[in-house]
Amino acid sequence: MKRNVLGSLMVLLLVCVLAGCGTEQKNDTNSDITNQNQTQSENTNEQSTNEEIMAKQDKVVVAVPQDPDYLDPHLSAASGTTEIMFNVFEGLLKADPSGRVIPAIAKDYTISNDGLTYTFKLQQGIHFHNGKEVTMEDVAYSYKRLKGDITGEPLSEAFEEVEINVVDDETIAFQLTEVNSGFLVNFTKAVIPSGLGEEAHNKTPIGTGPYKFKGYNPSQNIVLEKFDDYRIEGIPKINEVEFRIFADSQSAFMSLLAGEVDMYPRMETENIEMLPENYYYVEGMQNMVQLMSMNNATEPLNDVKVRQAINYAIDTDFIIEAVANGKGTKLGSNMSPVMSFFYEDGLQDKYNINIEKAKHLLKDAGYEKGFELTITVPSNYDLHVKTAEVIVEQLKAVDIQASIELVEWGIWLDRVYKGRDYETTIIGLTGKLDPNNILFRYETNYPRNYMNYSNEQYDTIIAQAVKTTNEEERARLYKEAQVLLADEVPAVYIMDPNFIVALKSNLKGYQLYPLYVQDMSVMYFD
Amino acid sequence: MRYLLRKMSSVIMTLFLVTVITFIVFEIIPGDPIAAKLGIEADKVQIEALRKELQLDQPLIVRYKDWIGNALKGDLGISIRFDEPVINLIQIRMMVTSRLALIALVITIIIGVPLSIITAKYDNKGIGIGTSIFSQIGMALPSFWLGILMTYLFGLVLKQFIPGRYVPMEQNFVQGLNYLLYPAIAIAIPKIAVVVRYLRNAIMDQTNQDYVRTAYSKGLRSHQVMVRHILRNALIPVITIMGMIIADILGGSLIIEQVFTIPGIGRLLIMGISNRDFPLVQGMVIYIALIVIAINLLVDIMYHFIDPRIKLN
Repeated sequence: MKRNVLGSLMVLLLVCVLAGCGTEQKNDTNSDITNQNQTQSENTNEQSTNEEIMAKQDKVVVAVPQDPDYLDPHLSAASGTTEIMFNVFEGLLKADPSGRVIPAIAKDYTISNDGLTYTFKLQQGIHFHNGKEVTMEDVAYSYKRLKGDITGEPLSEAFEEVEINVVDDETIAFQLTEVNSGFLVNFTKAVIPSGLGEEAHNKTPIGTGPYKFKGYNPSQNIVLEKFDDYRIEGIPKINEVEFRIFADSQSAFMSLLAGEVDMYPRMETENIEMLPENYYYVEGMQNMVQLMSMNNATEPLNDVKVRQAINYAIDTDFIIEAVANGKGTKLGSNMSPVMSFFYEDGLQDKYNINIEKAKHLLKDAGYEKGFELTITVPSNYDLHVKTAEVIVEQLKAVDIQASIELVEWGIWLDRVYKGRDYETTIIGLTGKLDPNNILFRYETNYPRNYMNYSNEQYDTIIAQAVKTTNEEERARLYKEAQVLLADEVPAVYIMDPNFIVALKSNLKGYQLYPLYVQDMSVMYFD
Repeated sequence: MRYLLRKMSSVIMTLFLVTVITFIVFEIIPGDPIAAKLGIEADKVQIEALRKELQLDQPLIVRYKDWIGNALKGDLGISIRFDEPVINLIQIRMMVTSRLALIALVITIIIGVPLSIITAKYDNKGIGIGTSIFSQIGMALPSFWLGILMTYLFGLVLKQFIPGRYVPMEQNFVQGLNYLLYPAIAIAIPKIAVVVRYLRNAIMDQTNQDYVRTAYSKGLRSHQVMVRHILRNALIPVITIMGMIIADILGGSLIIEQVFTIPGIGRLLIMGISNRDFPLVQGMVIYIALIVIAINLLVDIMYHFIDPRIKLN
């Protein structure tokens, strides 16, 4: 309650401050802007003189939270890097906004009936950013480099066992040793030019995407520039994109208030009310699963009854309202409804709050008097911290004394994710294009099965699904897996928090993906 | 000469100890540079490749030996997180932070010294009490809070600068100066308060000394007495404080740089630590240690010049 009062006071203060800007800006900013040789868009209420500038705006500033791990697309693993470099690189295939993979550098492809051979035809006349035409040599180089044939060091697990055969100048075949129905997405890995040396790709990355890499200043920004020779006519539209790195969301939002940032992905919901008039926002599901993971190997969480009781005691509807202002989609298993074809509907209501049932289950499990529970939360994720605060309160109803342990992100990665030394934790698992890459983290032998979940039946289903090429059958199996997760609840599945992106009012065309990417190529200034 | 030799050997010893301590601390604290860099999506092949590249499979002693060997040759290694030579990263940011420090220092002196004189002179009058209150408040204000306040006031309300932007001086001198001015003020305010407190007391102590009366009696005017005699003597304790202030700012105005998003040493250090970027942090620790040592040396020497009675030993 105290927090709320404080919060509304802050809002009030900010509104006053903002109101101040609105009037101030009219006479002030004009001279300011012309001084700076960067074009800038203005408040919509500023007319005439600025319209000219608005029409000419050809640079967009996007706020991002972190530095890239590697510029070299084959070394990079962090989703924060993909988010940016999605605009620079393309593979034989590419993801489209619906989450399907479509041909990019490839003209088309076929999969043999046994599901083991993938054959791609190369699209002729595609150019790299350095002007060189993409040849079969480059395609083969790229995937062989991932496999480890070029340096002897494999760079991707996916291609390790794959045999790569160049058939002719336009055809390349990939031979798998066993059927893997989720393999196709691996061909979205970047095709890069051969013959530049191994180090060059990390210094001056070159791809075939709609934007070319212009520069990177550590902890400051990454600048991309329009690629005029892009394979699709009329794309991209905006000349320059600067991804500016803000270490904390506070300064990112402050910068947006000052009109410096044109686009702010993953804005916190509480900032929506404070958005200036000349901004709007787009929201949608982001294929993320926010969950309270339980360490299934520790007592008392190894008892399925205890896990179910916790699920009954936690009111996820309330959490969505309280911490996300209702901007989230309730989940019942480890899959977001955005994966519509594979999503098992109905599970989200399986554990609607029921304190009686929870108490009963705890009694059965021998924990009638409750127990103590630690929730380890990475302190840099405000959403997860707030969720934890709500859960602590909710669990009191069934006498579970939960306490929050805030840890730094680096420690979370090391101790919780890698070391599995925790009781419960709240985190968001980012979505993947293929359901296998989402659900295999519960497999007994998956190296990052940090929840220590183990169920033979589950392992069998996943193994079977990977070997199934029939899409309907695959979907059925993955739905079965979701049902199993909902029964056994290795975690409390909370929500797919809405992805909110704030945009300047003259910046249009934002395209939501069920992936962690910002597609700048389709955006334009109106 | 003997003084210099002794000083040098203690410098080397200090630096050596600092590197050893950093190494050990990094070994003890939880956190994993590989996970910090690659995130939670990396597959095991990628993790293995990076581990080998960073030689994390080697024992601690071997890694330290390698590192110190290279460092002696002037090679501080490559930053894990940024894939850039540590030296380059530090040099670029050093330019920014040293300018920030210089501006903050100038502000501190040109406001702090006259203010102290005024306060001392009008000790019990309105001005004196006013500045006393100011200095008390100034010392109590945390500079990050001042920073946030100033970002609101000068950035969002008065629109003197754009929060989140930074313009290097090389690109545009006036704007560059402008972007450093506000953080420098935020740094300077608490420091001014400290200077006023010390210098005022020192001046008041000196004013009651016999030599001041002598100076007056030989016909000097009041400001001549102040500048030539009192201030000179009063500055000695203040030099120490100044040394501490410079080291403090140069060593990274950690929070202010974060608040004003200035790409300086402080921000780099925070990035380095939170990413467990060992070579980067180690490099910066050495750099900061060097600065502190150099400034202490400088302070010692300055003592000697201000008051020749103080011997260097």
